[in-house]
Amino acid sequence: MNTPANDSYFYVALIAAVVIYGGYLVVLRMRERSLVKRAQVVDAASRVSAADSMRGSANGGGGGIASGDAMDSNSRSANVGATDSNIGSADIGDGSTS
Amino acid sequence: MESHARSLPEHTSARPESRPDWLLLTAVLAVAGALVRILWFTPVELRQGVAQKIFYLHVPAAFIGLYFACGIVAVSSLVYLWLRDERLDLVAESAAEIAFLFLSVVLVTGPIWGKPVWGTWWSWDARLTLSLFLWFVLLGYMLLRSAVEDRSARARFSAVMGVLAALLVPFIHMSVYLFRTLHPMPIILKPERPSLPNEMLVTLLVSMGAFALLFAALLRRRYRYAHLREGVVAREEELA
Repeated sequence: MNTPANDSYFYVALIAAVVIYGGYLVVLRMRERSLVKRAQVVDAASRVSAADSMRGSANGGGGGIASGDAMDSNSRSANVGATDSNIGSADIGDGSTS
Repeated sequence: MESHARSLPEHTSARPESRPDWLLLTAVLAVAGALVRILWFTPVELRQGVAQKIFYLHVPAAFIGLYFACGIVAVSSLVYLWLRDERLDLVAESAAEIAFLFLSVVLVTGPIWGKPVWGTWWSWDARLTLSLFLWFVLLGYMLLRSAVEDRSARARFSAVMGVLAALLVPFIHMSVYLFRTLHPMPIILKPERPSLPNEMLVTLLVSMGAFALLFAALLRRRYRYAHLREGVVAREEELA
């Protein structure tokens, strides 16, 4: 009995499997990277937020709540914006992520 | 239990990048080693030719995707419904995605093997159709998770769906006994001795071990991603 010459089917299946497994690994790594960036923004924003609240409480009791409220409302816009520059200088700059 | 994923661990943001993933590297090397054995140290089957070697990619993917991954989805979903531990929900989520991945390999390599051996890419018989149906159910599971925002509801709904998806696995296994099908009978998971020559059986077991290691590495990595994501989302909610 002659063995059929159908090598190409095996190689196509092999390439397809490598592309699927490898593609998933690449996608997972990309998702991790974008999540790491998101985590750094959150870390930095919470650090700025904590520093602001400490500053607010050091300024005096009466104004503390009001300044805290203002800080909360700003935390999404101004503080996160400010932390973007912090990430560049501190978090990535210290070599901890790359 | 709820509080587990609420806090973002210290320096978590640096973790996925800073250390090499030894388990994943070992798994990739093991798969490469298995491929070397498949390509150069395993005899060619007389009647099917080299196309039969698709068997060493197709069967481990099916075995691990169906029995390991879907088994983990079912067990962790069931235990989640009992204990309501968020970690179990994340394990089920991760295992379902890996099950989807392995089943995708099964559904791609199967027709490529079927064409030279059966003379057709696809046949709407029970084994193939149920496998495709499970693939769609797993896709639905992932879409459901991305559509529901409330964590508790999302975990509950997807746990029920995960258990229902895994219920298909015994039917897929038994389908070759219950229905007329082009798909061959099991050659390993059966009461008698495996019906394979020793050299081929060893290659299959090597391939199975390598892909099981890949499964473990991917599952661990995917779980870490899910855990970190939950921490980040919780912190974002605190800051908002």
